[in-house]
Amino acid sequence: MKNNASLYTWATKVSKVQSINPRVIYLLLIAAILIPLFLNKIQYTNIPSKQSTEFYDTVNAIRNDDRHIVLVDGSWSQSTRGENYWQLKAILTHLMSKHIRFALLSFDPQIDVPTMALVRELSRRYPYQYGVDYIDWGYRPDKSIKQVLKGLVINIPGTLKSDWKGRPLTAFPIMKKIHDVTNISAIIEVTNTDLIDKWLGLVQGINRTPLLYATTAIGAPNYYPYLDSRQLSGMLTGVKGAGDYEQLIGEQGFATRATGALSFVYALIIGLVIIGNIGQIAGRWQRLMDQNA
Amino acid sequence: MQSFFEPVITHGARFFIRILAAFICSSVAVAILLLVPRSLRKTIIGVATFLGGAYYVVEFYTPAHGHPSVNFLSDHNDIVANFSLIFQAFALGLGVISLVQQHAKVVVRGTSGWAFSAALLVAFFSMVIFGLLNAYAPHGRILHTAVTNAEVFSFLFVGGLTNFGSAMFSMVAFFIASAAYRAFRIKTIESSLLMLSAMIVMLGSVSFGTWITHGLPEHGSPLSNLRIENVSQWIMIQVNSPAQRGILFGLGVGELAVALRIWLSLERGSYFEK
Repeated sequence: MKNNASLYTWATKVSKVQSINPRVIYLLLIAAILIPLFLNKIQYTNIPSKQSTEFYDTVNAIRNDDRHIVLVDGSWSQSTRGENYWQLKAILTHLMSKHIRFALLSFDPQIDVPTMALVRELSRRYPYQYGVDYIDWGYRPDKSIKQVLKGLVINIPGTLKSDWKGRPLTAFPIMKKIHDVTNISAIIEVTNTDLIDKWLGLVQGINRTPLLYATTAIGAPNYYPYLDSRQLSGMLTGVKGAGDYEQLIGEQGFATRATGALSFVYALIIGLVIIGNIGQIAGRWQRLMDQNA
Repeated sequence: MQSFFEPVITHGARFFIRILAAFICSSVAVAILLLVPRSLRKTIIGVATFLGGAYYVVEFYTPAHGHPSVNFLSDHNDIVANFSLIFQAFALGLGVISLVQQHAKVVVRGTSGWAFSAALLVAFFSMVIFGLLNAYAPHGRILHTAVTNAEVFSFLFVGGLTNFGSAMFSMVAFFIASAAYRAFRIKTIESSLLMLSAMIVMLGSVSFGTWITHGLPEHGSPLSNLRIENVSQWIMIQVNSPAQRGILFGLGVGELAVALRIWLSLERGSYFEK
């Protein structure tokens, strides 16, 4: 009888953990994010995912000559900067460290400015000259994406006509031998949207151009079938993907620290889920004892 | 024809004259469309929709010759694309008019939430005005102060809009954490499976999770399959992928059916019908 009473008291107390005040959860979450970001001493043993490694291997194997360029489409917005910006930075670092020529394109108006700032920042480490080693094809409205992609397949300068400042594309040395999709050695799509569907449907299959996808963690699960069918040659998933890529190219940047923070956050969420379930089980016991009493 | 539908790359008075001419032509076209009887209007729109769709269908399915993606219609893609963009711009314009009308009414009548509508209108017109000034007179000064149009636009766009976007999305993390704590409960077999797979995938993608099974061999042993990152990968590739593929097939067939209905003007309620 005494045992039953103490068990009932225990169950009553424990069942309360199934309804923790959300403010407490928010505070714990802030701590889980901030502490690893500011404590550089914590060591993380990250294992790059198979998709990240395939992404890296594909970039490593890119054909690098004056008849080919890599097309980097950065169509994300500041809302997913935490994931897409660091992915883009790691990718551009890799491209520039190997001196691969690339063109930038965007279907989101927010991205031209940060992307160009990023290239300028990286140009201090890896000398890159505008119009010779890279070019910015600029922003195109997302409503025009199908027309732009269909045009890129057969005539790049004729479709886009000018760079981000309105200068004719044909005036730049990098564009001298670039005519159509056969001159694109790989397409890298960094986005938080479903634009990849259009790239897959309208461009990738024409010349079997390697298509690489860097997206948010929330959007990635939808695109695993395309990895399976080899239509996507690699995929970076969220900040973990950016951290993977930094590790693969031997960088220790923000994404590496953010991956550590993500680790703490996931541990916290899993801990909360376990606590919530213990509370629920205790609540069930309590109700069962109430019914039996 | 090609040059008629091409974007205008010119400056100064000629640029504005062309914009005015385009506006007058468009207004006349819309006015004519509004003046014709309803039944004829429906026919005109139906025929235009069919022809627009037919071009892309025929262009897409006609075999290529020479270049991997060029056939006899490919040369006309630019014209059709520009034509399509102009129509889309019309739709955007109509959307803007409708939005402004709706919120202006709320502000004028002072109904509940009028302050939000006022904020929307102020933000909308500020971005439009300073966006245009930034494009055409970036170095112009505001009311004889030292502040330029480009600086105000940068303040609104980079300082305001982009940061609002970041702030909005970062709040999602807090709701997800709170929702996961409340929703992932062992109630039924399905919810238990969902919770278990979610936890494995979460653990498999972070160093905390991979540390749990780091003692197991990486390769060359059946035990390596039990490493958390491998189990997570198995769930994503072998379980998630087929399910996603099924959803994609379903969506694709559904989209095709809807597209056909719109293309052939079979959709009820469209084209001014009640």
